[in-house]
Amino acid sequence: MKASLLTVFGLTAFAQWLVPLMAIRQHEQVLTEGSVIKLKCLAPDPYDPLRGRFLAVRPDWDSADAAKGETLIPDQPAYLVLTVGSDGYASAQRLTAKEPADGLYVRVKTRYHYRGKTPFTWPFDRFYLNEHLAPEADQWFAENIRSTKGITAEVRVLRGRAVLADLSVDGKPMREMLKERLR
Amino acid sequence: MKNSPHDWLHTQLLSWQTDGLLSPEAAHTLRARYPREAGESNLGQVLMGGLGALLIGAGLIAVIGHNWDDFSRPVRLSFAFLPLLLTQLFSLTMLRRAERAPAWWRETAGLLQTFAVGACVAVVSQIYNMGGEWPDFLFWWFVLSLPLVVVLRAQGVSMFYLVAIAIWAVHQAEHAQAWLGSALLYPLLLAAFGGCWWVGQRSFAMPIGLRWALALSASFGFAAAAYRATGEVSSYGWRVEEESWVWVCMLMAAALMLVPLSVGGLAERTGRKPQVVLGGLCLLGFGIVGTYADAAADMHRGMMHALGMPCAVLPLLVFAAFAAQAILAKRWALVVLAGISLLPVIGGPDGVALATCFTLYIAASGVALIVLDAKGLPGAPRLGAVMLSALAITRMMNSHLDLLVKGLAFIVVGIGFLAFNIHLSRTKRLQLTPSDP
Repeated sequence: MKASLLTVFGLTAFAQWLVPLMAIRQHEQVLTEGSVIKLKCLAPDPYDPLRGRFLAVRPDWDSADAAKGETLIPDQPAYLVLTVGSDGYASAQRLTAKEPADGLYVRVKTRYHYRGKTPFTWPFDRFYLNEHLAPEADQWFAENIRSTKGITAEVRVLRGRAVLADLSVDGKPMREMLKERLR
Repeated sequence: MKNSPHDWLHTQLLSWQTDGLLSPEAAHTLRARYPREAGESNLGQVLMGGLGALLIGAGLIAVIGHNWDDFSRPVRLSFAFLPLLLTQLFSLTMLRRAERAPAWWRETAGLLQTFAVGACVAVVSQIYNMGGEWPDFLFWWFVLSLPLVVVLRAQGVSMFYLVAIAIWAVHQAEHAQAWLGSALLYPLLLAAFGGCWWVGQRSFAMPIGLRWALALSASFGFAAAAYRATGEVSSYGWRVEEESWVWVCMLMAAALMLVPLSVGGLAERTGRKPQVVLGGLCLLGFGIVGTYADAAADMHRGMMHALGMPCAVLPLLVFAAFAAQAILAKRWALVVLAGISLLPVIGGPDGVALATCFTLYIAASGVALIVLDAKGLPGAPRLGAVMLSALAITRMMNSHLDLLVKGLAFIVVGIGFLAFNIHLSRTKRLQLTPSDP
């Protein structure tokens, strides 16, 4: 066997482990060390052909004022500086192109806009669910579409990175709530 | 499974040599000119092995899609890495056996490892609720699978890579990201494949299935890259100069059709040259569209706009180089067909004049290709007949004649086409029949 082929194979196998392991390390770090923020959101149930059923998480606000004197270019990364209220829910302070030195902020992507607040895309947009629970989630939405019960996304934030940790309804984890409905 | 003509030739060469019909030197030259294609001898086994690996891989992805959220995170992560480890060990075994490993085992190992990589990335992104669309996921999947083309010389992985990069490029065509995340990356991804294939095989020769995958991938991938390159971002969003894109696509189709070939490649029949078929069909389609005055005027406007763009100048230069090489190789039929892409340049801004130019060029080329062949010179009578028929049908449909007249004209063109085909077949058969001594 040629040594060069073996080397290429070794490097390939290493890279095939490295990429997912790096993603795991990053996300674990945010989940364990990050601050918790809460966001009210909608979460309908679409399907990914490769990764299965998920709830499309859409926080109920996705625009903010740009920092004073700043013009943000569409489709570019920006930093959303957040403030957290006494109830744990986050609100936007400002949107800036320069990474803040400290505080609570999330790296987002700006979208096209004409005037007023700058819309942006949150770095998380899906919450994967077991395929048996997902239709139940759809059913729950159909029944509660007019009720005041809202879904809350629990997000961990660390140095601009945000990881969606859980979804809850009235303080109860969404998965638990759906499992109870199935019983 | 039916063998390729090259396989047949290699079998015959041996018996011809034994019978004294052919000298060893001549047999050697013929073997070198028409080499056996890699892995084709066990095509049935390779296909079956590939299909098995495909089913296992698809099953693995579906099992992951179920989402086993009752298990803890570490257990679910082991679901991701265990299949990857097993398939890597399997591939390593195949690698250690080198040439002793049957081709179909290498194919199976390559595909299994490719699917295991995809499954691993899928599980991780599922567990951590990672955002992003499926093309982001696909990107890492095909990048991490590419080296298997070199290491295992796996055609199934090559096919997966070629299809995946084309799908990814088409999806990224309208995204205004930096070039690294856009369809503009496609040429680099394709070049990476070319490099890996050459390093693995020490040759650019490919089996027919892979040639089609490559030609289709290049057609869609380069069209997507051109779409991205001819567009621009404004504060109102993404805008594409579609007429410019059409002309750049015409140049790319012409270049694709004229890709230089080896002597053996030139001698092969057209059906085994998918880049010629796809590029030719594409150009003929654009040419027929150009026979409409409005479309022709748009093409000219787009061409004028595109001439200032690097994305048009580069294909133009490649086209010029390939056309020069094709002229030297006397590939007249293709050179004539490729000329369609230059009509917007020489036809002028007036839509009616340019459309007339398209009509006359296609008609004259069609006739010339038939006459050249009839006079014993290199031509392409069937291509000529197709060009004339397509032109006649399009012009008739666009005319204001009665339905009765149009219908009769279609019937006449159809009968003419069939009669011409029969005549050609007879002529060819007569040429092949050995004359009496």
